[in-house]
Amino acid sequence: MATDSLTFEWTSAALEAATLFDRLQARGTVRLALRQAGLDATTVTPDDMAVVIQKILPKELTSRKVADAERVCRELVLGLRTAHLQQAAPAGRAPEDAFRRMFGGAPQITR
Amino acid sequence: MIALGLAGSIAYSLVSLILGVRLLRLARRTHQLPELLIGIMFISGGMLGHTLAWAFPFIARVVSSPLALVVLEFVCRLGIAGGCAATLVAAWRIFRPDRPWAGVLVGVMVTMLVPFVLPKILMVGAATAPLRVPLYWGWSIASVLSYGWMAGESLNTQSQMRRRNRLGLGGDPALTGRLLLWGLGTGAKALLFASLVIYQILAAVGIPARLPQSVVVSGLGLFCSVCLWLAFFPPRGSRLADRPASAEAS
Repeated sequence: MATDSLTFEWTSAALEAATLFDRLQARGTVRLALRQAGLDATTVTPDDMAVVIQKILPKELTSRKVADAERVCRELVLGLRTAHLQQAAPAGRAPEDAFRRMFGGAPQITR
Repeated sequence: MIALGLAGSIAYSLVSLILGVRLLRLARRTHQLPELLIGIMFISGGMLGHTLAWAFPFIARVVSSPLALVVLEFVCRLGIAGGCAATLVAAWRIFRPDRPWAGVLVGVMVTMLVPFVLPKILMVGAATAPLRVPLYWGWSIASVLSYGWMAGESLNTQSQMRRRNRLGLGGDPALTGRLLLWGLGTGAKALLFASLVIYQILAAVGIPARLPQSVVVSGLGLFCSVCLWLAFFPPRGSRLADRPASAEAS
């Protein structure tokens, strides 16, 4: 069974600390934002998470009545960049790699 | 009408042969399971099973030996069941390799496909009313679900890729488009299996079908063939043939 990535765990905990969300709400909010971005909590990298926090999370937090959502997100990105979390394995998107190979393209290195 | 009914079936047989050989050759080089399973899906289910299914009435006119026809029907059924089984295992291993429920589902579905290979032994006396036999429903569900699952997972994955592309997260628009075609193609194959069941039901309850079954099967076969062909061999210069940016840079 796949477990959630360190990046997801770190972001959820940081969001919980920065807002009035409980653990479940924070994790759910991050998970929903990832789903909107087409990403998965088990394989998300810090770089991808930073994009999700900047582009999707502000709207999610605003819709949940979080005060100053933009500032919260800026701090989350800053924290994420200074946390020096390990990137997930580069070839973490197995279905895409399999179809790229079958369709005839070279394996792509994911960020 | 016969020619129209055969066009899609012949197209699917040819596409299956070409793609199957291509993928099995790839599997020989890469030793990877996905290409091996999808290659088996095309060769067993498409080239062997599907071809014998549409060609059987023509073969039956020229082959007089009952034993030969029984063997041909067995090979045809084995091919179709093998194709479905390979598709199920491929959907599991490509999309849900770490999900125990997926492995259990594949085990149950493959078991449900076994009676399809030997219907005359396992369903004695059921030839006139197969809808009343649970085994019929078992293999029907398994066959529709095999390609339907593959289609659903593929379309879900391409939807995720499309969302990532929109955010600029290392996207590959060409692969996203080709995966959409693959999902539509395998979805059409699932609908093809479903149409066989629907026509059985219509015949059993005495409702006349508006379109001949051969036309529906052929239409779905043609749509499926075109989608799968374009997924593997996109037109040069089209967006589907674009190389990903990272590949261009390397």
